[in-house]
Amino acid sequence: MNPAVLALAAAATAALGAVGGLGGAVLLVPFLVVTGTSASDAAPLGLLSVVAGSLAAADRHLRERTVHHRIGVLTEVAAATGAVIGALAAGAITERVLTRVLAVVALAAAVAGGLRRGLRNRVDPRLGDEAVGEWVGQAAGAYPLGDGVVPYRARRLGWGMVGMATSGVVSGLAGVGGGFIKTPVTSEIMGVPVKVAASTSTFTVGITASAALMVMAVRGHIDPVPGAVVIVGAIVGGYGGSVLQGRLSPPVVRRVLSVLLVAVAAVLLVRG
Amino acid sequence: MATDDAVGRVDARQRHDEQLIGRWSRRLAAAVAIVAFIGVVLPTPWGSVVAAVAVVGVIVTPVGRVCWLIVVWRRQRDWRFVGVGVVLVCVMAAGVVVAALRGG
Repeated sequence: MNPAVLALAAAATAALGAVGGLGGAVLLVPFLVVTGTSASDAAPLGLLSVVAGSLAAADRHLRERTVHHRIGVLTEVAAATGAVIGALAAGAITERVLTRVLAVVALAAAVAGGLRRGLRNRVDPRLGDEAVGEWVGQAAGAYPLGDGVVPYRARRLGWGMVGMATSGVVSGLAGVGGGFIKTPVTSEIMGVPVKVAASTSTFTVGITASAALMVMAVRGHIDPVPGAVVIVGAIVGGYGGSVLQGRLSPPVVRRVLSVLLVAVAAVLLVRG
Repeated sequence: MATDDAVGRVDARQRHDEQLIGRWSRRLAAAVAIVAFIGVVLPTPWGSVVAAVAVVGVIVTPVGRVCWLIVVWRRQRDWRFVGVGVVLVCVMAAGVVVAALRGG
């Protein structure tokens, strides 16, 4: 693919993915496959865009104090294991099956984007600014919301780990970030507020993608020049997305992306 | 283990550490983007070498952040999560070893 087109695609998908909260790779990888790149070549490019996007978003999320590193690292043990298994398995399955996996992933992302719910955790008037942050030794913490502070505690860790392992396998196989699985698992199953779940997922998708990329790098599946093009595009797009986030409505963008993903999944299924 | 109603302890240096990692992430992202751009515009073989440096930089950054967290949690004497972090790094290392043993 022409480097300029690849950079533009990486930037546009990273920006849209950041605004919609689905991540850019879930759009980039299907786009690459639909435009003629093999699924096995598109996967590492998608994962590089995931790590680059995660890096670009880190500063903003840390300033908002909504990343829970302990919950992230804990759940990453399962997700990274899944990613390694997925990346190893990807070499053993055919392009046709990989393309179909990608179509199913795109459909799942569309559903996750369309169904995402809002904040349910409540402000605790007893808590002040001193309680904001992650609590030492616990998968719990509090984050600022308006003038108040919202406490939270991760629950159902076992089921959460199962969900994270699934997202890791999907990442390693299809080359997408898996944030569209991780954020709902963290918020809906583990009971963590959506804002914290989304910020923590942005941190953890980078680790998951890194685990899968290490396997791919050792096996010689990464072409550095297209990879560098995607990195430039994803970092620029990631910053652009954070600027656009204040101007566009995330729920509206998510719905548009969901429709787009359904169309992409249909094309992939027909071609696959 | 604290009960559901208990408010946990927030380490005083934690915010400073988070701001620090945020600043470094921003600088690192800019540096990686510049190196990657140079790799794209340079002719081969130097272009490929510089692009590979950018790719490796991006891949190892999340591992570096986990290692940094392990150091912070060790300072906080949060041994349980130090162990979790070490297990995570071991999982990633095991993936590399298995991939190397199985070959391309």
